[in-house]
Amino acid sequence: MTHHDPLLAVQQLSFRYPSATGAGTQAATGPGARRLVLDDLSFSVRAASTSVILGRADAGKTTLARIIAGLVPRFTGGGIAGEVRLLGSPTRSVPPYDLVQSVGLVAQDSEEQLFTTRCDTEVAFALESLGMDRAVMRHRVTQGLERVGLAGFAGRNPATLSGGEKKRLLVACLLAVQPQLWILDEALGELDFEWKVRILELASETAGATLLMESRWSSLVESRGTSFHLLDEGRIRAGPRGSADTELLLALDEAGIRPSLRAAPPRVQVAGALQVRGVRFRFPGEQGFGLAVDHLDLGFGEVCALVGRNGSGKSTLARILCGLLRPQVGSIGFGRAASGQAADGGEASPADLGARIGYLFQNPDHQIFLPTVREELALGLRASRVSRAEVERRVSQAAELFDLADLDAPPALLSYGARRRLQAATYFLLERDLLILDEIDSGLSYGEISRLVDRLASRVPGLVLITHDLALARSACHRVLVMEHGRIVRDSPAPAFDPGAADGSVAASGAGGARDPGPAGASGTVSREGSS
Amino acid sequence: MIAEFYVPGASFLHQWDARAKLLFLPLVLAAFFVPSTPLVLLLLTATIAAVIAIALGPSQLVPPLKTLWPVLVLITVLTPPFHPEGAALLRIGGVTLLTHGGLTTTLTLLARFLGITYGFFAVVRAMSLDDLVLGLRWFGLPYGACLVVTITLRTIPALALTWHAVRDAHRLRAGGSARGRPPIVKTYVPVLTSVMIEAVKGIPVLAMALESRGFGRRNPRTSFSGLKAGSRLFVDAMGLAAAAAALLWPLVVRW
Repeated sequence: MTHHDPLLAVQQLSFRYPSATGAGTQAATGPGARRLVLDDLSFSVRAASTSVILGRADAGKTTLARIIAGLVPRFTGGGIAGEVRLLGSPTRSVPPYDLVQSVGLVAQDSEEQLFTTRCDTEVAFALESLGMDRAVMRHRVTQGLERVGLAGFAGRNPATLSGGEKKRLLVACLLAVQPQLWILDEALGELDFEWKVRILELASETAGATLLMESRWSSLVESRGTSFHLLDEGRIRAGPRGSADTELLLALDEAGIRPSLRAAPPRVQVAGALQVRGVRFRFPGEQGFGLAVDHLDLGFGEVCALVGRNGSGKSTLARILCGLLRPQVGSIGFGRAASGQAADGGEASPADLGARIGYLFQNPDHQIFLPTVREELALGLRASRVSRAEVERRVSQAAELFDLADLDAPPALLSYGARRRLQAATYFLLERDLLILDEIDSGLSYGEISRLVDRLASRVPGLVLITHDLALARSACHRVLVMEHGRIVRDSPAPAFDPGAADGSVAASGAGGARDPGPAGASGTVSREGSS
Repeated sequence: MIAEFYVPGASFLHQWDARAKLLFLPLVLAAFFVPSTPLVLLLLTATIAAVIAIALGPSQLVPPLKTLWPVLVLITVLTPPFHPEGAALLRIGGVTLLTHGGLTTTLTLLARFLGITYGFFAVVRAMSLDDLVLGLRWFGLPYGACLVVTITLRTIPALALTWHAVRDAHRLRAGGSARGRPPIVKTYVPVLTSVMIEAVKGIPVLAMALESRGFGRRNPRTSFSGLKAGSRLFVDAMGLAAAAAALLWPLVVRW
């Protein structure tokens, strides 16, 4: 490799998955099964630079990342043409284990990459593979964990970490190995604002070059001399461009990659509300975390954002609201919106909550599992005793609305975006009063999220959108709730929501991100800003 | 995502060297198949249960029972009719339900099944997977084979987590249990199918994770952690003691 060679050069790369195989997360079937996932793709990444590949969920970003890392087509099969040169050498015939020091990948789904039972051994695994001396390993592992804020986590099982912590652990693995090229595939999505910034800093300090795969525009990388590429249906549509390039910005807007000034779905006048009163919850054996929500009304006609740092209790609250977890103290019931009274109908049982409140899990793979898209969509309808003909009619309608063209495709092999759409479509078909969408925006572009929210809101006007993206919370919702340390510390109408408000509960970033609010208010106390 | 069986702690079972535990396991297995009386086997089972209760706490005796109870019930119900030998012990309306031979065989099978399970449970619960790998490698097992063992041990709890997630998802989509509890086949078959799909999906993903961290390289692999220094003597002593106790006791004490 000469001084002028790029660190990574992708030349005329084309790739197509086989018809009925895959690694579980890429489009091997469905409408795009036989099309080229990557089509004559060429770009390069210079040393000491940051490049961002922007694209919608099905654009081929993960496939591209895996090809560069040597994982595709090795584990998936498929037809590949063109060349990937890393540090001047072609990588097509090099197995991934021989690329460890050249390229490091943080995958979109961090659970896919964690396979040991301690954080320190997770970080050390690649070092052991490299045959490194134990003393050097200990130093690198300790330092890696410290730099990502996991110094006290060496003995923790990675399974017990939050989503953001898992991402940071994977970054610690890269810090320990120090590969030349870092590929961060949607790695920023689940991170708090401050950790997004810190991870980007660590990458620029340590990596020879950084390649980010993002479905949404992030202002965090705007001012870093970064080059941007827009990947659309397997082709580079624009780029490399700087962040101020008008043509690029227009193309990004058209693709729904940048946040747009859209209005939230119209608020629907529905009297009903889910009412939470004096709820306290703590996981068995858990000493630190405890959920405490004194008073909360979620109207069935409003779109509400629930934001907060990793581990603040958002998902736990969601699981309580839909009846999957039962609080030790307090009640949840159905009543009139903002009545301020105890739930009209008294305390609802977990079964009642499950029948009226829908919950879209953070990980779609935990929620879609049947052999075909058709069966997946029909599952809930069959349980509600709808006639066979009516089930078929509604399934077809939902498939069309959510762009799920092949009803016989196995959901497990659909692309990430298609799995998200399928997950949403299953609940679109069910008659629920309120839907909780747990970080459903992760890995989707602004355009895709807007379409999903609008389609769901057309059937279920009551939505709770759990997100780290404050731009999305402000633009797509009527009301914003901020959680911290298991408590709702702020509750304000979206237009009045000021992320940088005096109590510092949330800090804005262009791409959004909830930030440490400092000391939380008294137990269960909510700061209200105007009526919602 | 992978969880594990291991529960951290500082009990004598935790302190015991990994190599001695590994040596102990096949001996326990052998001891339960040495010709003996049900009483001896039950005493052996009770001893292992007592070790678990003392080292890990009495509550740790429950998880294996919760998993095994259907099998234990089946053994209890189905074994006596197939062993009508010996004197009749229980007879109703002219039909012999239990004989001495049936009782002996049933107790032997129950003791074996429970004792072996408790033996493995005690070891796996008190030995981290890192120690397991180090121990197996000390006995000369190649790293790849050790990894298969540890991945298997990690995957079983992971599948249990997947089972719970899928069950929750089914429950929510079916509208809670408001419409009554569906038949067991309708409840479990879709969940089991879904878990199997998830498990199969995980195979290439795990392979990707391993190779992208260098698994498969030709250079000698080093180890981040090591077994406690100076424990060789302890290993030998405890291993031999365990071997002698486990193997000889059922042979010597035959009553």
